[in-house]
Amino acid sequence: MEQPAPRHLAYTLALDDPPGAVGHRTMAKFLTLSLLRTRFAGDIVIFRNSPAPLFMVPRAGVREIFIKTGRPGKKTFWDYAQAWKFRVREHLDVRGYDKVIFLDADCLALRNINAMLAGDWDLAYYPEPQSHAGMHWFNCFISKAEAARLDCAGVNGGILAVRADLYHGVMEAWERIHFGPAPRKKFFADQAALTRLVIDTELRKRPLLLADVATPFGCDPRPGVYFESCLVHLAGSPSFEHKLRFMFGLYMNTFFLDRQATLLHMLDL
Amino acid sequence: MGKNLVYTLALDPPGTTGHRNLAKMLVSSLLRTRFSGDILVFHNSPAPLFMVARQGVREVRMEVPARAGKNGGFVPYAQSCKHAVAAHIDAAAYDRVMFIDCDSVVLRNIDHLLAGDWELAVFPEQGSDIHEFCWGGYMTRHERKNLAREGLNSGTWAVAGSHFHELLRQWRAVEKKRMTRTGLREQSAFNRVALDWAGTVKVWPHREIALPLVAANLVCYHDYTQTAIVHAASGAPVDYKSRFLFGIFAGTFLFDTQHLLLNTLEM
Repeated sequence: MEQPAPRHLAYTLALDDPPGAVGHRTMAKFLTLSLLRTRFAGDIVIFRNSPAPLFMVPRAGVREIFIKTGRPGKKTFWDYAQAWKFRVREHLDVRGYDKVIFLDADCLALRNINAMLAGDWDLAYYPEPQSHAGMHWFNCFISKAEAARLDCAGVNGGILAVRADLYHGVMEAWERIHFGPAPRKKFFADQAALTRLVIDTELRKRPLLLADVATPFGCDPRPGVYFESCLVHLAGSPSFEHKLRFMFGLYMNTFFLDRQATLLHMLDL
Repeated sequence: MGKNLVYTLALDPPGTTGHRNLAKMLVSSLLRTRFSGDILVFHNSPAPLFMVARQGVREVRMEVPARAGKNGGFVPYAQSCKHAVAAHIDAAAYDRVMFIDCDSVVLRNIDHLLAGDWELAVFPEQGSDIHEFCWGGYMTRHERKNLAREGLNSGTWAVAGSHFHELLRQWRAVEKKRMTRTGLREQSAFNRVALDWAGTVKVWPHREIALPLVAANLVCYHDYTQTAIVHAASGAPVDYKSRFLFGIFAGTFLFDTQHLLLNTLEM
């Protein structure tokens, strides 16, 4: 008898300051829609801190969870929001799923990611091309001496996939490192903690490559390159509006352009 | 200052509409950025670009001979039409006449590109070498040894209305000659004409026009969206160019901070 296709769980954060601002809400909406339009085989959970839903008309397989983020104290909201990547685990029942993937809201699926999540591994992560774990963006849990002898890339904190039955353990470990002692001043702590985790873990790892993830605002500015990847991650934009414009354009040209340019002709009759 | 004209050319092989759609984006972008002159589009599409005619925009339907697309010859044929359409242009009525390849979109008003005291305005491709294949088909032996400059893109140029027909006459004449080395004939001929042009030649700065699919600079979104014109020049298929340009068009003209279109389409 044919085995049913594995089901996955994807989740993202739509946390804005103040709650209800259109930035991350909108990006999370783009991301969710792109996963749906590329026929993601699984469920999607969006954590939002705005009372209003992202979708006026609920989508099948998509759940929105309202969380009260509160005030960040002395931290900037952005730093504070990053820690919710692993803190929201208490809301996720991952039983019955094959893999669980966290995606930053500034990701967009251009192709189906089911194949990316297939395979016999425990943890998939995105090593940033041309980076080094000892660089400022990744190194607050790495001492200078260790950085000098390390030979591995920094790990991007915006994408992480984990085998479902290991998910809670991995997230606990990520949180423990994030809030634990650091040999340097904490900076980009979520990303640096994930870099530390990936270096230390004995789980079976799968690095995500260019066919899986491209960074148009980073190493992969050429459309001929990022059009071919399953996911794009828009880390590194000089401004938020800039990122939203790009994301909107990429969403529109991926899902609303046909050979007849129907939408263009409808809008510009 | 008199009135200016922008013209473009959108010829598609039978049964396809890719260039027509590109031309529509270009014209729409010129209108949305308040270009103050007239716009002329030559195309071979049975349907007009705009069902509702736009003020200042004229569409001229061209017949393309059936043999034009044979043996991979459609692209050279379409390029050669840049000057073949000259007879339909009343250049004397305009201060400046500008040609823009249809695989371009305009992101901000281009009136300033047409201002000033010059006869011919050209755009050099940043980091290119005029002696390479795309530009150097008509260089002399002496120039090959001594001339150091960037190649000019023949997809965006402007000329004083009073010199328009002279420019195209010279261009046609050069193109009929045998090339001194293998090259892209139409663009190489344009470079030859510009080199020999006796009048004032204005060189548009690199920051005004981006060629993100080919040139080594302005390949990042942040850079090319600061320019006045994004030109998707490359040998890439028209579907790829359409996708790239539609993304820029949407991000520039269909985007607002309340995401009205997105929320309408995806309630």
